[in-house]
Amino acid sequence: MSSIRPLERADLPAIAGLYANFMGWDPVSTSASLVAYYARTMLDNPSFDPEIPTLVYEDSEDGVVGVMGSNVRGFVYRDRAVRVACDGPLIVHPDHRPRGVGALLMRAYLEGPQDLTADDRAVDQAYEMTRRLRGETHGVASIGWSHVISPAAFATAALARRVGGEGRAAGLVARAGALAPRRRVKPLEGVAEPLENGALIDLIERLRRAFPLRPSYDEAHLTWLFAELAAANVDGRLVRRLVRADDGRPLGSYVMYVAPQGIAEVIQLAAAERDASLVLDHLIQDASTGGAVEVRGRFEHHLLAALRRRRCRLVPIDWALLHSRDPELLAAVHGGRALLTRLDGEWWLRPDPFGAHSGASA
Amino acid sequence: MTDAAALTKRVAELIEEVLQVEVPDPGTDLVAAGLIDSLALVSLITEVELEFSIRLPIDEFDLSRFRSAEQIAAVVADLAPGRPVA
Repeated sequence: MSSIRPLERADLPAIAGLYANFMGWDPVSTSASLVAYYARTMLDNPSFDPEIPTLVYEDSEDGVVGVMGSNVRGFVYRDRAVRVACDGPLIVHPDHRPRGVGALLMRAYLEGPQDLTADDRAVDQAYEMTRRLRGETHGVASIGWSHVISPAAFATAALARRVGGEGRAAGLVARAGALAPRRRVKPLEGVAEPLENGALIDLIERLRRAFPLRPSYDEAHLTWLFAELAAANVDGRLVRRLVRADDGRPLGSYVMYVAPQGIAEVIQLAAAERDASLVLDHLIQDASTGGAVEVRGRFEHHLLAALRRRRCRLVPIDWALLHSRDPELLAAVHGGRALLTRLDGEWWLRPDPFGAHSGASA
Repeated sequence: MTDAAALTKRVAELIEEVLQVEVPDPGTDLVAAGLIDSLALVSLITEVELEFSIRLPIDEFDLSRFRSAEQIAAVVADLAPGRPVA
């Protein structure tokens, strides 16, 4: 009989093979790196929760043919500890997809003891499955935003991508940037400084009134988290900053990837709504200094006014989905009273078996 | 009509309602016929649970017993023995 059970260490080579097959990578040369990656992220991470494990589907004849990854994050709702389970990746061997293995894995995962399940990188089929399993669309977070820093370089980059050739594209963008009129950089209020783990922990506690549902970070988790972020297979250098007011008060923080002559992808902007605009200004200036031509992020309630002021345009992104048996938690997320961002999601969890991302961060 | 036959008939009707397909025969293998994929299975599981007020097993869901109206009816009968068919 086939069964769904928690991931065991002995399953890791099979999981690595499934992922390599899914990505079209050579399963032999990528195996060791992928096994190490899944050991770090699915078994050995400091937030591993044996009650909400990664699940595998074991076929009686073919062995492990499917996996539903589990990334558990400690959160707090008012004064109550809650467990947020970020599901993914969901990978099923092509021969077993028509048999509904993916649906069975998702169903089993959603039945777990977590207080809230969140998925921030769902494709259309996962969206349909989750909805049919009584999940909900996190509508706001299923929309992205974009701010063009340098219209000339942005247009050139888009054109260069169409005509092909990364080196040629980079050259064209650099020339366009050099030819574009230099805007005078307006000094911003406050100051952005490197974001230390302790400062982020303190900041989130300061934001408790704005976000009754918020992450409950600790030093061990953040050390692990930022190391994985820096090594993830996402274009650009990891940048994390704390923004202080002129009087030294911490106002907010941001974490993003900045790709020179490319896109700056925002992973988290943590600030109360009243301070989000200034923190966003620092973020955009930082991305511009790093050479990005466009900033992109996920739409979140506390960013609304700041994004409106900046006249950011909206863009389609992956589905964000939620599932919970606790209507109060769902109401907190839908009502903008939760700091639930990509930092605590799965969006950036992408293995890099070729070592192209060396872990650089600033 | 026996209880088993009535249950199979109700399951076949449910499959037709949920999947919007015609079940040619209660013994038709829905997987082999290409009528069940992940989405269809999720819908079918959910509707079978609602219709018959049962909980299908999660960890050991035996797909080989969920391939035809007859087989699904047998699973329902195992989990809710003696339940009258409306």
